[in-house]
Amino acid sequence: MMHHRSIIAAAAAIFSLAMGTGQAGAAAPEVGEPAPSFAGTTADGQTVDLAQYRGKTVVLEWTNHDCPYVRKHYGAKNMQALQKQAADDGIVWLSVISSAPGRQGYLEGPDALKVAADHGAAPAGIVLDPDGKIGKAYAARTTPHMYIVTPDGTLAYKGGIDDKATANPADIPGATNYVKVALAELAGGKPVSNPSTRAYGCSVKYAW
Amino acid sequence: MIGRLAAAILLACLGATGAWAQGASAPGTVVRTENVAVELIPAAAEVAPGDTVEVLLQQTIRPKWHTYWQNPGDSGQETAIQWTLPPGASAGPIQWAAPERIEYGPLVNYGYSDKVGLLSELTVPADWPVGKPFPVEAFVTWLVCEEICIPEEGSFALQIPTGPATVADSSVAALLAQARRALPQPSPWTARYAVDDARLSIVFDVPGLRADKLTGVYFFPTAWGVVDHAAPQRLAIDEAGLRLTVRRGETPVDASLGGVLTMVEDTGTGPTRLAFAVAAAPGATMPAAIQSSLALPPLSLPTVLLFAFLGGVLLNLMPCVFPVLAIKALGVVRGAGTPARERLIGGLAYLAGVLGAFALLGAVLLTLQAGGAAVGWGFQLQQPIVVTLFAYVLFAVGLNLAGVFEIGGGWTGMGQSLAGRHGPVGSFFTGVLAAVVAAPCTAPFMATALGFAFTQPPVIAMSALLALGGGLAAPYLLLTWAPPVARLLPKPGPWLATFKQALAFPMFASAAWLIWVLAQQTGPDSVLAALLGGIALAAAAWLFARSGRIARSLALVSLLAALWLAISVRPADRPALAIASEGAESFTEARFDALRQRGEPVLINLTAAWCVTCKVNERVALSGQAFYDALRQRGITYLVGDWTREDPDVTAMLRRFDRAGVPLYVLFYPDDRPPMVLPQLLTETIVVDALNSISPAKGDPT
Repeated sequence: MMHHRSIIAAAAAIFSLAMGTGQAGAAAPEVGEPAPSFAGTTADGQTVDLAQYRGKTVVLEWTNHDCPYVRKHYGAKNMQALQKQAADDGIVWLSVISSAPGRQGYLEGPDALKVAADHGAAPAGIVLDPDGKIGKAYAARTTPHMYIVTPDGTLAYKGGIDDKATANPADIPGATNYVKVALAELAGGKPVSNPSTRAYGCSVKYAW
Repeated sequence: MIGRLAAAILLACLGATGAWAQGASAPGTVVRTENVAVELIPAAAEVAPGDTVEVLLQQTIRPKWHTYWQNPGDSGQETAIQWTLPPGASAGPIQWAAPERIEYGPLVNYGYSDKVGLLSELTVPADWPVGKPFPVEAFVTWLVCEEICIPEEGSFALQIPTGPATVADSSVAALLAQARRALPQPSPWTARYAVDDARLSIVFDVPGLRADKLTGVYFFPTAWGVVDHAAPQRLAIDEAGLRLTVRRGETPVDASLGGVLTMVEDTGTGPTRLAFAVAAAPGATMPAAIQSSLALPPLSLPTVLLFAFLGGVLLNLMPCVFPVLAIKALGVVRGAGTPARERLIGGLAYLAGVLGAFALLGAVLLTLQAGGAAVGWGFQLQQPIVVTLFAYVLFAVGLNLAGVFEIGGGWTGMGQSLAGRHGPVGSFFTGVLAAVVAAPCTAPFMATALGFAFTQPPVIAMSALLALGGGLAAPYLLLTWAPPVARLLPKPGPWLATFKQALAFPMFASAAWLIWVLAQQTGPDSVLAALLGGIALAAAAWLFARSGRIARSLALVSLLAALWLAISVRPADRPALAIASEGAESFTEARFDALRQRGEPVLINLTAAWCVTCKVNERVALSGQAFYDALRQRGITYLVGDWTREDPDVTAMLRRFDRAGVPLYVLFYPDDRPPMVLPQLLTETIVVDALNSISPAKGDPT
């Protein structure tokens, strides 16, 4: 019987090695670990690589301009204010669109620039991720879904924009904005007090 | 009542005229959007001050769209109600119906489709003036999604009449009952959990379940993010209970892990969905990591076939199969001078034997499955007699290897091939033998791939079995086909005979293991019978090796004795019932017939230890005071039949009501009325109402 078991275990180990790629969905990146590297194209046709921002804090914002939860924060100018503050503080803000072609939120480069201009948005760049590779590397699930990467490339925050998981703009003033707090803490050399929170919003409209 | 009717008419009109601008009129009891119709319905026609009244928020959801549970999963947002009530009144939290798992690409949400009722309890202040209507206002927000998500909201207002006593509104009773049935029941089992960095494992203390009867076993955690919502939940059912292991999420786990456990049980008349409210405490052990990495369902077809093939190859190393392969390999050694073509034919014949045996086994399995039996790989070891016969085969092969007997030329050629000669017929039957001795070993080994394959269409199940056979035959085929590989084998010599005898011991060990399996299924009497049968088999082998007609005849007698002993093994007679059922008698046909001949009323409950639905019904509906009182007052005899192990009396009764499995509840009347079959899912009210349809027994004090 023991013999049986050990052979079973050995065989199972072989299978699981062979099957390593068969796991459904990748594990989410961990705060405190290196942020997943990525390279992509921005709405204005530039190439962008996370590595090029070594030395600067980077904010990643998953977005979908038609999602009511995104509209909540853009309609109230909440997201734009954060973007502007970030730019003033020398922080790189990248909006990421992982909607697949034909699905809600998908935009070609010029349209993405126009939507951003209409909103008065001020990201350093809009990353186009129609095949969802970057989104899946970060396990981005919702719009908005927010990430902060430190100047040394470590993931410092992942989660929601704030702690009021609603689509109602009236909830913004009373909410704790996790990203704002985390950026302030990082600027002050302090650890992020809430490094991983619930991201809320519409599902990311991945290709599948 | 009138108000409700008016609301229904209004709802119908609005439906006919299409989109309705929200907030265009004063709040009522219905809000209808393009995607959801929401109605606020009080359960009581009249409520007494100081009492609580249930209020139902009924959502009728557009097909393919969803609203969300208290933990909406990867995205989404739960429905929320803000109550505005008079001072002194209070509202309880939403009582959530058991959710379903909604896949959206790589994401998973927890929520509802089609329709759902969310219950809340409102308490009317004790000093509320009787007769003054109790005003209820609610502002409700909900998210509804299909491809896209739309947050919606609505304001509701209604007045509940008050009176000296609370009176249920019978016009909504059915709707309320439906909503209550959709609530998770308190878990009948204790649960413990364990966490590490990567996984959460939750164990339910429910021994004796049958994996082949359960599907859709899933744990919905109440708190967001304690598990990776999209990750598969790996199910293990064994003697310890039911275990689910899943990748951890991003939120720390509270000391008490709350959630809902759902499962669908095959009860013989169709699937029954069960949901239990769970509060798990820490203290479980984490299963070995290797198990979670195997949590890969659903598997793709190529994966299943690869899995099965590799499993077949590795089967050759199992103690029950290895000796057969070794002897065949030694045959190649001895027959070094045999022409390559002849050797290859032998190899192919061996392959044909293996595949033939597996195809036959597969055909039997699939036929049983098509007949409605829930069989899978490993079913062949569920029958004690089959286990015993497998043990005998392994034992006999061991005796042959040890040199106790050799089968002469006349017999099927099996012995010839074991002795190393190479007729294609001999090779074919060696292949059959290899498949037969592999069968007991395969069960624990290939559970993952074959377990999945047998939930798929027959073509896939059969392909997986044949891939397994191909894997089993592959090493020997390689030996016969590729002489360079054969040259790696050692040179023949006197050591061969010694080696062959040594190979007997793994066979004996495998046989011993099967006797241990038998001991789990039966009692000491059957183990003794099986062991005596083994001795008779050994005697038969020994006599067979003697010359002379008398010895041969005695060998045959001995062999028949062994078979007779094998047939005599029986599942153990265990205590009929493990459930608390005071006042219950064991169901037997004799007892039942006797009662019926006297025209006495009888309630029968056919159950099994592995049937979750049965246990839930017994706990919820068949063990309360009201139930026992009704039995006593009506002089009804309560017969409980246990089908945990096959029981012919119970099977006959099930068949009489066209049932393939338990549970079955039937009430037999003292008069000519035909027996009443109760539903699969019971409540105490259903049972007591049914029992009360019999008039009280004479002489009962009540």
